[in-house]
Amino acid sequence: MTTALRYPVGMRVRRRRGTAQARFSSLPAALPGIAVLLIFGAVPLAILSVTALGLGATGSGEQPGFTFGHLLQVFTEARLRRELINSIVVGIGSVLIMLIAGIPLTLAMSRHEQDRGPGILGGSALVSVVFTLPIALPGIVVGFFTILMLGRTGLFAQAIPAFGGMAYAIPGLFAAYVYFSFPRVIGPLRAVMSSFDHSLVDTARTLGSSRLRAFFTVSLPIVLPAVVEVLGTAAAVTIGGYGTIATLSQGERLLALSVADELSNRYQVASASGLAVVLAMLAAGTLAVSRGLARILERSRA
Amino acid sequence: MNDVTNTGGLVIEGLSVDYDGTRAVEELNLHVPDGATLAIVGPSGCGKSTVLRTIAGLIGASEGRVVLGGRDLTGVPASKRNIGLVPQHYALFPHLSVRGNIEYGLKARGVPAAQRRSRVDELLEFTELGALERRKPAQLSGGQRQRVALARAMAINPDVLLLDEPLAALDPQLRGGMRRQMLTLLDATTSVNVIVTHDRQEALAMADLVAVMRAGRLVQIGAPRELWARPADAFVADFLCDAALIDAVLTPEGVQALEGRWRIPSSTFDDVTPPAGDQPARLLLRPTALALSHGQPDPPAGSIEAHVRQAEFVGESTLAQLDLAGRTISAQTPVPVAAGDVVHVTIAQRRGVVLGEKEA
Repeated sequence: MTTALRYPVGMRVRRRRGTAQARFSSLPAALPGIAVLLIFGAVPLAILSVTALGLGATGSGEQPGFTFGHLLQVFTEARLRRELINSIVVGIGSVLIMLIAGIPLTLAMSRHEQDRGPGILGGSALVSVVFTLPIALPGIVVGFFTILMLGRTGLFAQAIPAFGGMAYAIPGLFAAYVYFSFPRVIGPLRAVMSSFDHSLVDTARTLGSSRLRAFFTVSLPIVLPAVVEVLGTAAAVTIGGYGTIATLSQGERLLALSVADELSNRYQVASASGLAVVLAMLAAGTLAVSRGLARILERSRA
Repeated sequence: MNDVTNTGGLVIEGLSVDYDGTRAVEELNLHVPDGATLAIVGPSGCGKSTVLRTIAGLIGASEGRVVLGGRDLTGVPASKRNIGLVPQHYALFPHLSVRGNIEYGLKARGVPAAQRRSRVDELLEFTELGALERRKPAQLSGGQRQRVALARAMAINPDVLLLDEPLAALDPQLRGGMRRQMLTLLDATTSVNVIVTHDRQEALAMADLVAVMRAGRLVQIGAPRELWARPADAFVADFLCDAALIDAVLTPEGVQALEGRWRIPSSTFDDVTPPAGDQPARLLLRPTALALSHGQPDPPAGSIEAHVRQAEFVGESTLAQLDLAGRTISAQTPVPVAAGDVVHVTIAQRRGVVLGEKEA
């Protein structure tokens, strides 16, 4: 992606050539990966889909036999429908919030790094640790952080009582998942911005653009395809994230929570499978839509 | 320096720039009259691009002022300076068409659509880019990109046009043609033009004034012919003229150089009046001013022995690097010499230049 930032058309041509060569030369190297994906990805998904259609194992009180009911329950049951909407809103919304903060931040870091080498805003070890630490934290720990800050007796609640218990409402879930998505957005964005040509912005400024105008008319349109891809990938991960919502499950719920509940607490195997398939499709769909959108954006500017 | 800040044109007064804790430019003073083209030349890292970026307002001055047409720009943001910048690799906006690039500055200034269209049409015609107006930068050749960048900078009618290494990104065989084309375009502007380059041919061919910088300091400024004829020191002679400047003594008999080992009669030079007594001077040795003789039994009068260190055949002649009493000097000669040859060097009639001790 990175070379696309200056000459998108040139990059596309190179990528096509690279793909054509890779098709013949890298297949043997890719075989182990394809095998792993088939065994641990496609096969379980197929079994899960069969089970969700009522044709596989069933759980406590579930009737065997073909049905779309387990797959469609997210649309027919109000509670699950709300969880589905919450998952989409929180998953995409939290990543969008991160992007709004992350794009100017990573552009500034890239500029600093290109102008002056690694520094406070550059690629120093400390900055890298700070910006990537959350990726090492389990979702459940991120949930605890949120309770500590926005729980009923959290730090914010002690200062402003209105914040008490916000951790279990939509704003709290947003706060938790913004933190959760932080490294998943900042990391790829830094890679995208590392080769951004800042002389484009300088030129725009000498032509009379304010910093804000230069950002919206030059920087953003150029990085947008890559940003959309980052958004899709991070949102797909966030939508399926379970640990954080497991800790914050007292109020608003997300779909990942019901998948686990149905299986572990209620032993509803087919129902859990139906929800899991929908969740997987939602995450995969987010990824696919973002990739497709990124391609369209790239083509439109070539 | 006299107060020239109210005389129009571009005035740089006592400019110093610190870049990341290092002084990149030190006490620079320049005056470029309206309509004139200044070329700033120097080796990499000499501070020439920093000067350009400071004029553009992209880097702040630590000391001194940048004044344009009597208006002090020192604290004015880049977007308010009315300066056209053509960056080294042109920095064309890859998501915009040729037309979109050229009209970018006009849009940023809120120029009405009809006026924008007319101005862009005018520039497309002027730069012969009309047929390419819908193309994106990735679909253009190097020369076409350069013309788009120039048209984009000229579209806003800038008071100063800044060009950073304008020909460096082009293939060498394209540069001559593009240089001539760019001269035509620059001649049509009424602005002050500032070109930063490390190519002396570019500087000498395109500028009314040439400023030579070294290690953040201005070494010499003047008209191209003036600098060519009288470089201030050995650095300018080497960098701008590809020549050597060696200490000499002007005597009643002629010129003595290299601790008296090379004695050249006065008749060799056009403009040397023998003094009554010895006077310190400097001898400017251009590659084309030296004549080599090889394999002759008697060394010519006024010659000195030299060893050929390296010889490159460059077409019509051979470019030889000579060891002349411990100094390396270039000579361009029709004589087919080779590395290891011993030759005798004289100064070709009327080609030698003797400068006073402290020319500047």
